[in-house]
Amino acid sequence: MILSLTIFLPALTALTLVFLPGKYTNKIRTVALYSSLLTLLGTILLWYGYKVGGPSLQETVSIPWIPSLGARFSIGVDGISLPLIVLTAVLSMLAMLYVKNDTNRAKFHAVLFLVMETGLLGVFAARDLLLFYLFFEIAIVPMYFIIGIWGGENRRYAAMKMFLYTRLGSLLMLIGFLWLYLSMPVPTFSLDAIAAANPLATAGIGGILAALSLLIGFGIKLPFMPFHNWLPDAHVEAPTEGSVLLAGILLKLGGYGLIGILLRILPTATRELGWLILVVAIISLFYGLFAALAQKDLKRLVAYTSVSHMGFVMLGLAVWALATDPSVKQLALNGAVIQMISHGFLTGGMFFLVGMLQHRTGTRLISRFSGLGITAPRFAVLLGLFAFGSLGLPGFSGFIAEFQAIAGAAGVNYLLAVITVISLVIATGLYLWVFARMVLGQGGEETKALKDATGSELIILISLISLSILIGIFPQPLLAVVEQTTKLLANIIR
Amino acid sequence: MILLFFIPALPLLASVLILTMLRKDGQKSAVAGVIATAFTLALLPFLFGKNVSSSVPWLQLNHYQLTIGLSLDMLSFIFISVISIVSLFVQIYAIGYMKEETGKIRFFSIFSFFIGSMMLLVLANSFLLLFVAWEAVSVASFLLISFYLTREESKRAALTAFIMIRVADVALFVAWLLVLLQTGTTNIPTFLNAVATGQFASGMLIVITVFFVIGALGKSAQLPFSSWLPGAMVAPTPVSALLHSATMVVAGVYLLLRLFPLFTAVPVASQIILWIGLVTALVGAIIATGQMHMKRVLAWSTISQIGEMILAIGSGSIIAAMFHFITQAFFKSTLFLTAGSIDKAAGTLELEKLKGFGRALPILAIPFLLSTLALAGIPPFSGFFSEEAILASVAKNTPALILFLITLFLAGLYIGRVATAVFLSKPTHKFNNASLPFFMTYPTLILSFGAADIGLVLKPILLLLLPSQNETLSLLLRLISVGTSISGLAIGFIYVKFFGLKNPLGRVQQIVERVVLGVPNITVQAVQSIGTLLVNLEQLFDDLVRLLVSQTFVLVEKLQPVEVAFDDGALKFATNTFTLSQITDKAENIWFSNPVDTLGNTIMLAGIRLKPLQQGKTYNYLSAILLWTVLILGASAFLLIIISVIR
Repeated sequence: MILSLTIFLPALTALTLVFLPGKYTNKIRTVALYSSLLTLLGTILLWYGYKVGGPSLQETVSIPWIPSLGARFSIGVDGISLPLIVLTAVLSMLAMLYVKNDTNRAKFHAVLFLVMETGLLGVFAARDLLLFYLFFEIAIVPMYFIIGIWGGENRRYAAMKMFLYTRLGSLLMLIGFLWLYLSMPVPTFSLDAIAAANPLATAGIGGILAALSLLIGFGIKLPFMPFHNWLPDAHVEAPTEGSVLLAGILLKLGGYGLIGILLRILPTATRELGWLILVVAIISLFYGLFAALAQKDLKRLVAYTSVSHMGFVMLGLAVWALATDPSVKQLALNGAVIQMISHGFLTGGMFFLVGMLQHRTGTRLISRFSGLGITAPRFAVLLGLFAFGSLGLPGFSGFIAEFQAIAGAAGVNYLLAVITVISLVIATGLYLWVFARMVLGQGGEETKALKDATGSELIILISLISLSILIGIFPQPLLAVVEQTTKLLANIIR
Repeated sequence: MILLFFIPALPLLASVLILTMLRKDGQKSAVAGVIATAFTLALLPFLFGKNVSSSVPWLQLNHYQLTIGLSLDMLSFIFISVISIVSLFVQIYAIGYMKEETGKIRFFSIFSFFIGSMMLLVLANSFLLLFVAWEAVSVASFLLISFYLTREESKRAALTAFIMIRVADVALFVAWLLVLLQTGTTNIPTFLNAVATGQFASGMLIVITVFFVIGALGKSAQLPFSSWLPGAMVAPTPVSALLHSATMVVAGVYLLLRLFPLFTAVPVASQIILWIGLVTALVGAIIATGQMHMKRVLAWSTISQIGEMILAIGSGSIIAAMFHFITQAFFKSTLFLTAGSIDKAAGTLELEKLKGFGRALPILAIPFLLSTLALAGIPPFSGFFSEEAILASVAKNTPALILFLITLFLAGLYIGRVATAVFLSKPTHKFNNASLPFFMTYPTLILSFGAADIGLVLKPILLLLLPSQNETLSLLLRLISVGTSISGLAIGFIYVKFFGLKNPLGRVQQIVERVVLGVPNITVQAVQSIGTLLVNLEQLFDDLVRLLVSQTFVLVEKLQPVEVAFDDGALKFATNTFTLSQITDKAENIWFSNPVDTLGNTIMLAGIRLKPLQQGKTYNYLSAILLWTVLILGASAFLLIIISVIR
C-alpha cells in the first residue's frame, strides 16, 4: 500500500498542478517540493518496513491489469530496487529544492519532473515486464522535453540524439521481453514467473540473441562503450537538475535492468556472454576516464566519468557470469549495486556543484576557475570531498562499491583486479587534476567575484556528501538489504 | 587497551577540534596540536613492553569478515615512539615557522590529522584499517604539499606525489583483497599465521607478496617511484621534516617490517627488495651529490637512506632496518628543521646564495653539523651504529657490500658538501644579522642531541630486545666503513674549498637524475596521448550520429506540411463553424443561440490552442516521438509475427 502510494504520489501531484494557473510560480514550486518530500518520507517508511531476513521481495501488490495479455499490475521491492527507490526520492527532492526559485515555465517543468519521478519509482518496483516497460517510457519521455526546452544552446541536437539512442534501446528491450513472453508455456510478463521457469535455458543461440538484445537495450541506458555517445551531449545540454536526475537515476535504469532483470530471466545466456560483458566493462572503465581526461568543460568531464563508473556495474555482472564461487559472485553483485547508489550521490553532487558554478559565472570551462580555494573555500572543500569520494578513497561510498567489485574480479583472476585498479589510478589523476586546476592556483577572473555556496545550495551538497560518507563508514545496514537479493542471484545455478 | 586507542585518537581529535572549535585562532590551534601529541607521548611509558590487541567486526559479507582493530607490539611501539617524539618537536617548531603565514588553521588541522593517521597506520592490526590509514596519510600529504594554494609548483608537486603514491596504494589494495579472498579475513596476524604454517599455494603467495612490495616501495619513494619526493619539498618545511623522517615515506618500511614473515616464506622477494633498496640507495646518493638546492639534497638523501632500510630488510635484518629508521628520523628531521630556519632567515635555500651563511646565525651550526656527522656515519654519532648494523647484514654479499660502501662514501660527500658550503665557508654575500624565534631554535637543538646520541643509547637496548639479530662485524670491515665515511666527508670538504659548488660527479649524476625523473614524465605523456586519441575517435562517432540526427530532422520537417495542412483544416473548420453559428444566431437567436454559440467557441478555442504546436520545438519532439513509436510498434509487430511463425 505504501509502495503504490509512494509511486503515484508525484504523478497525482502533477495532475493537481495541471489545474493550477501557471502564474503561481512560487506555489507550484512549493507544492512540487513538498510532494517530493512526502515521497521521500514514503520511501523511508518503505526502508524501515523492509525486513532483513525476510523474503527478498516484500511489499508486493499484484492485480490483473490487461488480462487478455496476462499482464498484471504487480509491484514490490527487493534488496536491489529498494535502495534505488530511496535514491530516486532523495535526488528528486534535492532537484526540486534546487529549482525552488526558478521561474522559467515552472508549471510545465514541475509537472514533467513529477511524472518522471513516478516513472522512475515505478520502474524499480515493477515485477511485470510490460509494466516495467511502461514505467520505463514514462520515466524517459519527460527527459526529452526537459533537455529540449530548458537545455543549453545545442539542446535540440542533444535531445534528438538521446531520443534516437534510447528509442533503439527501448526497441531492443521490448523485443527481448516479447521473446521471453512468447517462449513461456503460459504466456506471461511476470518477472518472477519467467525467472523461475528460465524458458530460454536450452534455446542455445536463441537465448543468446535474446540476452544480447536486452544487454544492448539496457546497456544504452547505462551506458557502456560503444553506446555511450548520447550521454555527454545530453548531460551537457540538460539543465542542472536534469543532469542530476539523468546521471543519478536514469543511468541506473540500465544498471538495474542488467542486474535486476537480465541475469534473473536469462541466466544461462548471460553466463555465456560473460567474456563479452567483461571486455565491454573493462573498455568502458578506461574509455570513460581517458575521454574525460581530454575534456575542458567540467560538465562534459563529469559526464564521461559516468561511463567509467558504470563500468563497475558491468564488471559486477561479468564476474557474476564468470566466477564459480557463489560468495565471489555475491561480492561482485554487491559492488555493482552499491556503485549505482554511490554514483547517484557523488556524481549527482558533482553535477549540482557544476550547475551552481555555472549559474554564477556562465561558464563551465575548467581553466576559467582557478583559486577557488581562496575565494570560495566552501565550494573548494566540497569539490575536494566529491573528488576524493569519486576516486574511491576509503571513507566514502565509492570505496565500499569498488572494493567488492574488485575483490570479485580478483576472485575470477587476480590480473583482472590489477587491470581494474589501474583505472583507479587514472581516476585519481583525473579528479585531482580537476581539483588542482580549480582549487589551487591564482584566482582566475571568474573566481575573483564568485560568491561562495549558501543556504539551500549547502543543504544540497552537504546532504549528498554526508550520505556518501555515511555509507562509506557504516555500510552494514545498506549491505544487509542489498545482500537479501544478491545472495539469491549469486546462487542461480542454471 | 583503552590507552592504545588514545594514541591515534588524540591527534585525530585535535585535528577535528581545530577545524570546528578553534577556527578563529591560529596560535591556539597550533598549541592544541602540540598538546595532543604531548599527551600521546606521555602515554608511551604505560604501554612499554605490552602486547595488546583488540579487534571488532566492521562488515560481514558472507563468510568474508572485515575487521578493524589495534594492536601493540615491539615494532609498533618503536614506531609510535619515534613518531610522537619527532612530531612533538616539529609541531613546536611549526608554531614559530608558521607565525606569519595565512591558513594556519588549515595547516595545523591537517598536520595533526597527518600524525594521527600515521599512528593509526602502525597500530592497525587489520589490513582494512591499515589501508584506510595508508590512504589518509596520502591525502594529508597531498593537502600539505599543496598548502601554498596559489603557487604553481606546489600544485604540480602535490599532484605528482599523490598520483605516484596512488599507484602504490592500489597495489596494496589488490594485495589485501587477495588476502581477504584467500583467508576470509582482513586480520593481519591471521594472515601471517597462515603464511607461517604454509597454508598458501606458493604461486598465490608470490603474487600477494609482489603486490605488498610494490605498495611499500611506492610509499617509500623507492625506484621507480622516487621522483615525487624531491618535488614534495615545496611544502612548508615542518611538513618536509615530518614527511621525510617519521611519517609517510617510512610507512613502506613499516609495512615490510610488519610483513617480514612473508620474506622468509618467499625468499625471492627478499632478494628483489634487497637489490631495489640497494640501487635506490646508490642512485639517491648519486643524485643528491649534484643538487644546488639544500632541501633537494636532503630529499634525495632521504630516498637513499630509506633505500638502506629496505636493503636491510631484504638481507634479513629487522633490527638494522628499525635502528636506521630511528636514527634517520632524528638526524633527517633536524637537518630539515635547520634548513627551514635558514630559509626563514636568508629567504633562500639555493646553496650558491647561502655560502658562508653560518656566520650570520652560528647557533644553527650545532644541530646541522651534529646531524651531518650522524648522517655520514662517523662514530660515535647515531648514524654510525645503524649503518654498521646494515653493513653487518650485507657483509656476506660482496657485490652488495661494495655498492653499500660506495653509498656510504657518497653520503659523506653530499652532506659534507652542503655543510662546508653553508657553515664552513667564507661568506660571498652580505647577510643581515638574523634572529630566530625561540620556538624554532630549541626544538631543533633538542632533536639534534637526539640525532647525536640516540645510536649509542639504543644499541644495547635493541640488542637486548632482539638478541637473535645480533651480528658481529669484523674489525677490518668496521675500519673500512669508518674510513669510507670519513673520507667521504673529507673529500666533500676539500672539494668545496677548491672547486666551490660545482657538481662533483659531473655528467654521471646528470644522466642518472634525468633518467630517474624522466620515466614518470614519459608515462604521463603516454596516458595523455591515449586520451587525445580517444577524443578523436569520439569525434568520429559524433559526426556519424550527427548525420543520423539531422536526417531525422529532415524527415520530421517533411512531415510538417502534412500536419500543418491538417491543423489548418481544423482551424478552418472551427472558424467556419463559428461563422455558421453566428449566422444561425442571427437567424434563430431565440431557440438555438446559447448552445451553438458555446460549441462554436469551444471548437475555435481548440483550433487556436493547436496553433502554437505547429511551429516551434514542441512540435518537432512530438512528431518525432510519434514517428518512432509507430516505428517501434511496427517493428515489434513484425517481430511478433516472425517469432510466432518460427514457433
